[in-house]
Amino acid sequence: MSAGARRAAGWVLLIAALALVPLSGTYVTGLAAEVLVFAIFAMSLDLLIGYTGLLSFGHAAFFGVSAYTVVILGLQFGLSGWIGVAAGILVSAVVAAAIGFFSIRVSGIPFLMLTMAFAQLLMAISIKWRSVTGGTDGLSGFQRPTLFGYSLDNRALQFYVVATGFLLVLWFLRRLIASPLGSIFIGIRENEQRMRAAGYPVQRFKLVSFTLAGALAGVGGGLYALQNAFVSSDILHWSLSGDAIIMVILGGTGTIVGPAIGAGMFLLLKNVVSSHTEYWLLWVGIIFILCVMFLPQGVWGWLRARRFGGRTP
Amino acid sequence: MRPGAALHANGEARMEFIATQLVNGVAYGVLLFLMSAGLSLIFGLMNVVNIAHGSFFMLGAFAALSIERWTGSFWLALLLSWIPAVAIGIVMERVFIRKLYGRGHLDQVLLTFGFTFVFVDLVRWIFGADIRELALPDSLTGVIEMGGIIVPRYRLFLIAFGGVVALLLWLFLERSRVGAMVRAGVDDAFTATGIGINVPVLFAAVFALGVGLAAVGGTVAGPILGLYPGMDIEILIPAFIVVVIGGMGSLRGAFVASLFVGLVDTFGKAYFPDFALFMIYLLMVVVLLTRPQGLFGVNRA
Repeated sequence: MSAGARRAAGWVLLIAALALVPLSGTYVTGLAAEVLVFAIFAMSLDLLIGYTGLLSFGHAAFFGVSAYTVVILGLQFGLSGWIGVAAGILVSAVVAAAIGFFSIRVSGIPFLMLTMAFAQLLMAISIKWRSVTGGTDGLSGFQRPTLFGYSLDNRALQFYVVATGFLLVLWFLRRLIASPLGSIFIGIRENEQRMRAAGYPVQRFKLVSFTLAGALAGVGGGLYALQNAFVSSDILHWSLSGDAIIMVILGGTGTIVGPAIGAGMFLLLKNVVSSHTEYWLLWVGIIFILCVMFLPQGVWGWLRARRFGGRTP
Repeated sequence: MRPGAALHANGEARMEFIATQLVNGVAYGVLLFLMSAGLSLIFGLMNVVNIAHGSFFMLGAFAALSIERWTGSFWLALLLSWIPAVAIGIVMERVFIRKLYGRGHLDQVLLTFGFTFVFVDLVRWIFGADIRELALPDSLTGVIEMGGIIVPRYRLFLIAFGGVVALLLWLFLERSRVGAMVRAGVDDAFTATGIGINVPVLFAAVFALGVGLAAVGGTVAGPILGLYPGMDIEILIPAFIVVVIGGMGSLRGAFVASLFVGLVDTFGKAYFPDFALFMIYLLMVVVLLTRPQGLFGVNRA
């Protein structure tokens, strides 16, 4: 099979598998939708960690800002969730551009701390600005929009909407990485000095990457709001940024698909292990530590290296 | 916004209020110092950002709780509670972190991040999720009146204790032979190896020292902050802010910034409760943007 045919077959298989998910009952469908929402979130973070070499510890900011935008526009102005998601993505991009503008001035550990501090600032606002955000209690009562006359309260429909978003983000990221812009990002990850010496305005490209990643996280956040019809300040907490990092590392940095698999592993662990023991985080921690120690390329990176003999497909 | 109710009280009560906040702020600063001194030294020497540092604070506190329950003595708990944390810390450094020295410090950040999950759930598993209390001996309970101002005895003890630890630490680093090696390692680990300093042993020693300080910090924090799984993160974030402001690797920076953050946080919560959280993070952002190496840090760029 040629590479093109194999890729096409992969897409067909993926779409077919996703199309069949709602047959498996509401519980699995709901869980699968959650996995896909966080897969979008983790994939968007991989653009920073895996492709541009920026370890951000505040990615929840963009996911959360978008989710808040959807719910607040719906509750305060009665706007449809569809407009909300579009606005949410836009707001995430703007916030990411603003935070990125400052954060990319530093790198390494200070970058990590700065992104975390900005996200925590937003969380402090969401906790204290109760009249708009509902504080820690959150905002409920959001009416899900309709699609072709059917309400998104329907689990299967919710899943298809989320799955469509997931496929679009996956497709977009693969195109992006294969594009000249993607090559520049990878160049920055590999050797920032060299890129600078070659005349690339590295700072500007870092900001582009940060903004794009923020907007894509906004896609995830918007879909999260449509799916849950609820948002609270927890969505901006740094532990959510930490969860996304775990998903990316478990699945494999710099692989796009890997973080989606990492999101699946993380949420399955959370849902399956937590039904047997309340100490599921212990197992997440142990698996994560082992992964960092012995499987730094992540589960998908490892599988891919075996399957393709180390070549990048 | 509405100013704190205390502003409306009469002058005498206001003075008393300010004095109380001052004592509380300095006492909190002491706890932050015990955390951030180790965090800062470990980073300065080993380039490791130990996200699990708060976990050792928590482990120290719960070790103290166990010792106090067995022996009934707070003093014995204070004397011994660092031992389990240091033992665990040494194992963590030797078995895990050491393997990653060649791999760049972001992998080490991730590794220690993973450990925070393990430690917090182990504590939850062994001790439960409820808030526990570390009881104080009679000699440390009650209040002392100083010039018309009533001060809890334990806060005064805490401040004195922090002062003594800071002094000992300073003497150790500035006056002892091992301290000189640590300083040499912080300045330039590569050259330090070249002049015959056994860097791996030094790394383990400093990691153990930092972890021990955090555990002692958790023990003395126990009577005022309470013990619960999650106290690790509660102290970790402000301690990180201290290290960022003070400068990674600088003991003096950790000391000054601890008191500063302790006071800003305490007074902020008293006078501007709506903005206290905001102020601390804003402070961190401003320092990171204007002086990423911190107020007392060395520029490594």
